[in-house]
Amino acid sequence: MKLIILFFAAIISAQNVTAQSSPKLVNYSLKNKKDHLVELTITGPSLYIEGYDGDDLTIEPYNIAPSKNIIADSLGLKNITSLITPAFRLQQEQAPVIKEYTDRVLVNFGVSFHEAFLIKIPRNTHLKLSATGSKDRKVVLKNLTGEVDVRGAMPLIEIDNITGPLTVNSNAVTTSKIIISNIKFKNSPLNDGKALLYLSSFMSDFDISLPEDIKANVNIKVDNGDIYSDMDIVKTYGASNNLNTISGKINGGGAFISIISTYGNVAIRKQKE
Amino acid sequence: MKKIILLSIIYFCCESVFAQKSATNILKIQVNKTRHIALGTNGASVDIEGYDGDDLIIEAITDKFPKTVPEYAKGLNRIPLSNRPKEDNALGYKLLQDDSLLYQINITTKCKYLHIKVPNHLYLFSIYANDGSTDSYLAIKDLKGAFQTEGSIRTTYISNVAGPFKVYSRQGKVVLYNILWKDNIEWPFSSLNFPSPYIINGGSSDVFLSLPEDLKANISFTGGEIYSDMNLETGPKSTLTLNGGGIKITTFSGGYSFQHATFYIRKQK
Repeated sequence: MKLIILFFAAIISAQNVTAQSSPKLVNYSLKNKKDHLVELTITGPSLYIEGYDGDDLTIEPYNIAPSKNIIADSLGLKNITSLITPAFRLQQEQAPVIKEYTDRVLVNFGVSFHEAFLIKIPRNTHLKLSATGSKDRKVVLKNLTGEVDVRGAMPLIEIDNITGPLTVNSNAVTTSKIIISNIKFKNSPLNDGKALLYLSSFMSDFDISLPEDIKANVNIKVDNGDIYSDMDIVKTYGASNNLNTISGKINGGGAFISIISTYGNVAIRKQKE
Repeated sequence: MKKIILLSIIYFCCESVFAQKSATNILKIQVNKTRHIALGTNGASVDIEGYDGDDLIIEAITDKFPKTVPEYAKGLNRIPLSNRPKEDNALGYKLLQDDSLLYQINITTKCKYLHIKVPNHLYLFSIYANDGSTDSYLAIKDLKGAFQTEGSIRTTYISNVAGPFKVYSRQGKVVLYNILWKDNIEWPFSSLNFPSPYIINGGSSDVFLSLPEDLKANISFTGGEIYSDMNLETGPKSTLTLNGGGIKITTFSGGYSFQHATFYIRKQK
């Protein structure tokens, strides 16, 4: 028993060390603004975005364990950037600008020098995120039931446990990846005929897990990459005659999934339980 | 029925044999070594090496690289794209400029790999290579004389060259190793006012620079993150000095924190 208590205490301590939160930079009420679109623009940090059952949009610096931030290429080397006079560096952290309109709330951070932000947002918010970060940065977005639109250039985007519709447009011009899992899609009139997934990238690879019983029409165009799957995609041959494209149906067809990539690969797999 | 099955088996065997066979095509272009020779490539990995001849020799080789499955896609089936254009070793070029100073061509091919032999000691050689494919690269080795590279390609390798050189990579990786650093080397022209014989513009790339432990050098920076296992010391005007300073190496980086280059400066093994 003592051992079990000790084990849980150790886990809780470790979590506190690795994910200490700081004072909130944004605490904005979205109560009675369910239909508002929240447009969030941030350049620089990693973003950990979670839907929750509250009413406020909160943004706070997020301290990640340093070991998770080490770039593999720098192992055995020292960071000596500080030896150079930092005259060329932008060090001035800008305060976020928040504007509210009748149908949307705009939150603009500009360039931030924080390592990461923890962003909590009411679960049913419609979110439009524009995020750009350098090679060790990522976006982790989960637990949202509103419409989600992610743009910008991040090396890694992980999207988990959403209902969609989801739009992702990655402009990353280096090796990068977009992972989408646990889609809880229900085809309903509320979706307004929108695509469940509307994804595009220049260089990013897609790794998408879909429910095994999903009924979907897929259209995938990869100019230079390849398509991999363990799902039964039945090709609709007329549309598949387009260059570098396959069109097909999963389980007889249904929700629309569109994926386009210039240099990335696309993997579509059955969601593991 | 048996005959049909047998014929089908033979057909598929033949097809798979032919599909893996590489085909080569060679293009030779006579060049005037006193001019600036500039090449452009698109959609191909490129190996460039210097040699003691007079012709530019461009070789297109199909099926050079076996198809690899990325780690995350292992266990999944590759879905063939029946209408994907096949790799083709047809080789040509489009002349962009041909005057007393500059001879500039764009190589036209659907081949994914080019091997180019470039005459040593050209007045100036330039290569503009673009290919965003996962394993694309541009490699320059054993080239004597001034050269510059520019492009969007996943990895740029530079080795066994003395320069002067200017390497510009917008993103991806740049690897410089076994460079024959010299302190008395100069660009063959002064009009462009290049700051030093060795210029590395990393854009937002990862730059891997190997230096001999006893090299005397001044390395200037305009930004980016710097990692090293060498005894670099702060010098004047955003410069790091190695062993008291000597040859000039100039680096550039994307200006903002989210798009800067990262420089990894290591002792050469």
